[in-house]
Amino acid sequence: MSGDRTRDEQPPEFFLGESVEELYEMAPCGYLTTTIDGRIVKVNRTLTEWLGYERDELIQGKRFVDLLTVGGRIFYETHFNLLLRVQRAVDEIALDIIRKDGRILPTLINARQKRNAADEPVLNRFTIFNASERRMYERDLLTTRDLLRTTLASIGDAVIATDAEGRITFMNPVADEMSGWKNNAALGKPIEEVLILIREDTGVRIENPIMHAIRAGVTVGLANHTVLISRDGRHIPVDDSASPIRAASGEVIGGVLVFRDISGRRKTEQELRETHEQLAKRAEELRRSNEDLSRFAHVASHDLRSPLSTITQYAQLLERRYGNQLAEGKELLHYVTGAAKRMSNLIEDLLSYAHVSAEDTRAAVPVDANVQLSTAIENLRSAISESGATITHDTLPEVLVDATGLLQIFQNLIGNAIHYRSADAPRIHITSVGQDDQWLFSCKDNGIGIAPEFQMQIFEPFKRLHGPDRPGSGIGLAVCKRIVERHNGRIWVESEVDQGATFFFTLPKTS
Amino acid sequence: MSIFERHNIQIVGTGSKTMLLAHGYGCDQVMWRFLVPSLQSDYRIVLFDYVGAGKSDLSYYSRDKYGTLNGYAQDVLDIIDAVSGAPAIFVGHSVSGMIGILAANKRPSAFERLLLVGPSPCYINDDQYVGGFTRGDIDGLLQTLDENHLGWSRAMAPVIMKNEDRPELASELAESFCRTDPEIAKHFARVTFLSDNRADLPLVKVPSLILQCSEDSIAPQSVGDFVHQHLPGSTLVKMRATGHCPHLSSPAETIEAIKNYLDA
Repeated sequence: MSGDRTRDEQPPEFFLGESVEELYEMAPCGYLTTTIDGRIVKVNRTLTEWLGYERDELIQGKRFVDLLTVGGRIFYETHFNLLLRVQRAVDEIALDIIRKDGRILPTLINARQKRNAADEPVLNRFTIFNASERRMYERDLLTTRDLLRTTLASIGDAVIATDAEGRITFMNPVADEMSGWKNNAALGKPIEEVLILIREDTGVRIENPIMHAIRAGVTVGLANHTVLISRDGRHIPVDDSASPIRAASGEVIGGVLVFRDISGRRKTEQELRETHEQLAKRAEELRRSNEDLSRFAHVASHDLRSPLSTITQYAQLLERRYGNQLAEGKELLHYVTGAAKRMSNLIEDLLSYAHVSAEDTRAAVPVDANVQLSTAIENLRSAISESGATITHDTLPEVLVDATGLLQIFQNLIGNAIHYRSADAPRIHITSVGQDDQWLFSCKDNGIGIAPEFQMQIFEPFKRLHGPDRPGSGIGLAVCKRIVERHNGRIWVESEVDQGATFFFTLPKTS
Repeated sequence: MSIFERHNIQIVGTGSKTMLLAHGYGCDQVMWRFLVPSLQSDYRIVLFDYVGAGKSDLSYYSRDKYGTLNGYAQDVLDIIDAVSGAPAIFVGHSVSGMIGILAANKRPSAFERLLLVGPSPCYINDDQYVGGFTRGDIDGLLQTLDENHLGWSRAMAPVIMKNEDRPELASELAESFCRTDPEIAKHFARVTFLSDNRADLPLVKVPSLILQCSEDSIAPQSVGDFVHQHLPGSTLVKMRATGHCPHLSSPAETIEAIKNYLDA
């Protein structure tokens, strides 16, 4: 006890008497010496304790590279050893050393080469520091750096950072590409030298907003219509903003500029404008060609009528004068007049179809649908009484349409319902229901119905599902469709074979 | 920018035959400094840095061109064209061995001899073939590179060394060695260590020498034997020198092997 106390009372100088050997063995870092070939010849106790090896295990045959991970070994052979040979000294190399138990000791290594009198290298000396903590921070730092880098490389905008004097410290790949300064060529250069901005209208050079942001300490947006002139002379319209970068103390230590190429947007806008103009031009052309066609149909129908009536008149004259001499010829003459009659009907229909087109510009007015329906029924009186048809309807609304058009629709639909009747007497019901800004009309019959596969094509002109035994030229529904669509409505049919048919159409409300 | 500046080409020596010294991965033309004094009386020595290494012009680096060793092989041909009208003796360390082989297959007439120091046609193990490494090992190398490039300016940039014994060396050594841009170093590492040029070996028409070190952990003995076996017209010399860089660790033995081969 008393001896211990005596030692405790010794002044620090007492302990400076430690031997060089003690200093070497117990130093707070590892010491390792190898031959030039890399064979371990000397190692201190600190290192053997860190690694868990007996000294003899290390100095009898192990090479320095045997202690390294494979990646570290390649680095040693391709970098470390070369530098050591050429420079004779290498400092602060981060390498992982493998302990005897397989665990990793992250280290930081300095090395010196010892030479003989002839200046030939004879030994390599290494000091090895435990860098477990430091490596953890470094890896965090690397992860953060990589995250930042991939983030900035992934975003579509160009990013440039500068120091407080406006010298470039960072550019992302998009900025490289847009500015034309690649491979870090712009690093350290003043931003005004690298990024040339002009006003689009005047071509006058403008100050980089990053300088303004640094001076004023506020975020600055760029005026519209700014153009970037790249290093290779491209003119790129850009949109951007600049902000000061502040240290934790609040002091402005740099600036960051974010900008993007808006030539794509400009181009899309331009293309949209052009498409729009083209479309308007096409529509105008189409309207004119439709008008021409209608006019042609109108004129042609008129011109066809007069020779046709001549044929009919002469056929009738022939029958009257020579009827009793003709015998079988009389029947043939019937075919002629029959055909002439059908052709006359066709021309009538063609005229009415052309008429719809000609009505193109006529303004729609409020029309009482009940009145038009009554007129249609009146016009069809003989067909109705011949077929014994019953026509019923609910009270119908006022709609915004041209009156003749609505009359034609009713007349065509009711006419069709009578024409395509089944064995039973036709029963036809017309009604309507309001929907938002339009009226939905329906015309339901108990006729032969229409198979689903034909329900679209019946609205095409001159499409007929039946032979000449059924009356009609096949234009009626096409006319209805044209009238309805001219008023922004729709027309369609719901039907099953032998189950009757219901035609629907919509027309705008008056309000 | 001329090709001389782009590759920092240096020409020394008084010999008539041109000898091109091509550095390997990790360093630059500095690695040849211990061979040059003994060779310059017999050869016209051409030293250069690959783009991305040493004092080459970094702005010329292209990830496309240098995405395979062919980009480097083309540079070797361009350099030979620029410095010599006659076929050259090509000395390539490590990956430069394969770069030389690719260049010689592109244009055999540009080469008189190929001298390959620690060559490996494929670093990754593949079925029966033992290259010595796995893909995971290469990832480990990339991580080591990353960790050492964190202090890149320290590890790779100028290190001023105090040499008490020979102060005249201090200024010479004050310059930087084996400087490489971190991103380029990683890309070159990937291209080098993931390359597979085994199929190019049998196509070589230029006579060649393989210098195989003992205990080379980058290109082990079995790899040297493989190269010798598949490379027509090759001579294999097994050296006493250990490691991967005999021209640094044992310049005398290396010079002797080169001279023996070329003078034979």
